Amino acid sequence: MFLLFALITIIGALAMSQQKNVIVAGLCMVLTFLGVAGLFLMLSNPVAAALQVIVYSGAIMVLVLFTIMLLNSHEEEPAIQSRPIQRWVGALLIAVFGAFAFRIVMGSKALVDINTLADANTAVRPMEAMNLAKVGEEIFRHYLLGFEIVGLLLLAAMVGAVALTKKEL
Amino acid sequence: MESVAHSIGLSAVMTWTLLKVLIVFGSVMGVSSLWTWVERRGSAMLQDRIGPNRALLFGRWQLLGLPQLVADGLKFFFKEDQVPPHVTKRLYWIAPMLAFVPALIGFAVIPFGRSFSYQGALYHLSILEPGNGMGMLYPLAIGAVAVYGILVAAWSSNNKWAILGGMRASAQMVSYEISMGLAVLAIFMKVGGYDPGEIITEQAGVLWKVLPNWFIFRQPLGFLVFFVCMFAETNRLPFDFAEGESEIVAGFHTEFGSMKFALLALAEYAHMTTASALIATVYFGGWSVPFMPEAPVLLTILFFLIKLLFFMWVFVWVRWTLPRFRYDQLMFLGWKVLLPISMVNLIGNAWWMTRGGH
Amino acid sequence: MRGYAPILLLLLICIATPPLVWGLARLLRPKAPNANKYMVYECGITPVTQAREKFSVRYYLVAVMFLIFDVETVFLMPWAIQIKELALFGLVEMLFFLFLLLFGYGYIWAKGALTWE
Repeated sequence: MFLLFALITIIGALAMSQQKNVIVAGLCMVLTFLGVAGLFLMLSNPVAAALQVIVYSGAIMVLVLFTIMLLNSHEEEPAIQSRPIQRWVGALLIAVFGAFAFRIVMGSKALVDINTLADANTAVRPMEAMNLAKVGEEIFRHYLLGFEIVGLLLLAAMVGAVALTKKEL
Repeated sequence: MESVAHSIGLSAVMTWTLLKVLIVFGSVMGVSSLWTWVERRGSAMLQDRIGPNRALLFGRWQLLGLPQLVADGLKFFFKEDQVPPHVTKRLYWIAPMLAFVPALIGFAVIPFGRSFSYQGALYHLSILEPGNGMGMLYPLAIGAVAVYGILVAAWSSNNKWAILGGMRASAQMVSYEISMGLAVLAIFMKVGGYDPGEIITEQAGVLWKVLPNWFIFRQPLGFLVFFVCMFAETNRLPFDFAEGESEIVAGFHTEFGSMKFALLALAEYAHMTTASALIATVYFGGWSVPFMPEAPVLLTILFFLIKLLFFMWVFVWVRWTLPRFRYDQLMFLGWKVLLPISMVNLIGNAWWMTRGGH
Repeated sequence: MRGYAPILLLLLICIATPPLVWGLARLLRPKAPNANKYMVYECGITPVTQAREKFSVRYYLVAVMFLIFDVETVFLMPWAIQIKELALFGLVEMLFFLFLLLFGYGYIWAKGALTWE
């Protein structure tokens, strides 16, 4: 099951970067997000899965597709000559980030917990499913400042969007 | 149950699940296709004309024009399915699926009857069982994804009417999704949870000794917003900017024919089914039978069906009552009327709740 | 996760249905291609410009506003569920959050970003 969702995610991402047609690429990205939502479900976090679908697949990708359609460039841009240096830099960056990600995952608390539990020969207790009430408790107990800052950010985003399009209004 | 399960070599739980999935799939498909007939007969009735009555079963029985349904279904199979050269082929094939799948799976979270216990096991009458942690977020999420069906269908057909219709419709759907979300939030507040099961239990009982304790009476403002948004979300008149046959031919499905069109049309009706079920569940007590707290299971299913079909009829009814909006009126209504109303509803409710009301 | 297996089943059935009916229809339907049939449908007039034109920037604005308010709704959800427990403290915090957004809402309204001509 994990493999299925992981495959959906990765195939979506790869297909997106290889696509020539931007709209198809956007849809591949939607597929990737849905795959990630499936992974959240596997982690018994249905709230994150639902919000992933609502915000990412539902709102952000609609925005991206709208923007693409807004521009609707007819002629394909000529393919840029492949630049070997860029490729090498890209590969290097991927390697560095990959190494970092690997280290973070391997050192994460959850994984350590699972390992120690397995060592102790105890059955891994099923993770308790997340729900909105718990999220609320967390936000209001620990992350209140961050929460208010998000409000400020959203305000800034609104003003920014208006400023961007103001000439047209 | 046990013996049936045993005879097909599955566990009882699996059989029950399979049965529920098939029932839901079958009834949503069935009701949706039935409604293509109700729509036409109902429209005819409202406009004082006869409506489809020429199709006869075995050349003999008219049955109120019901055979028209069969005739239409068969006709779709025998139509040439053309893929014009100007479309984007892959997307053109995927689009009907993108519309069809979310329309049908949206129903999964809605309980269509009272949970009952049989031989010590508890059976729930919804595909996603209560306590799944997704609750009402699920229909919201599915509704968010439903935009793609129209958007992709429009863009892939590379037709001016289609793209106009698709852009209008998707902008409309996203505009009304916010007010819908805020209206539902006020319900979450009252319930203190977001599971449809909890929402229905909260609506049990009696209000002011004469009314059922439904949310429509407790939050009329929220209901108004939600109800209007449901029309916008399903692209039904008076908000059918996706099609608008007098303005942009057939909108996003202008270039679709044969079975592809059938799926797109079916998706619209399936959306209607889910929307009606949501209205019934959130504001009209779902399966609960008014003034009968311990209603038998079959009666609850019947009541749910009655409520569902009633609201589906309302969709047809409104279609011939209100004319189509103009696009700027639609945006005005969505952003400058419904959004403030739902905000006021939300904040007012929050104020009331924190003051100790309930 | 277990509870979601039925959804997967329903999803599979739904995804399998369209190819199935298409396959069936393929066996039954005629095929008579014709150059005129394959023209872009524009009420019989030969199309002159491309369909994928540049669209009004308003659609972009609507999408951005939708995104912002959608995120806001998402943030309001945990509070709405917990309102009885959080009581006045939650309300005050939330009013602060909402005030920022309502301010923005008023701003975009005044700027005419919500007006559609």
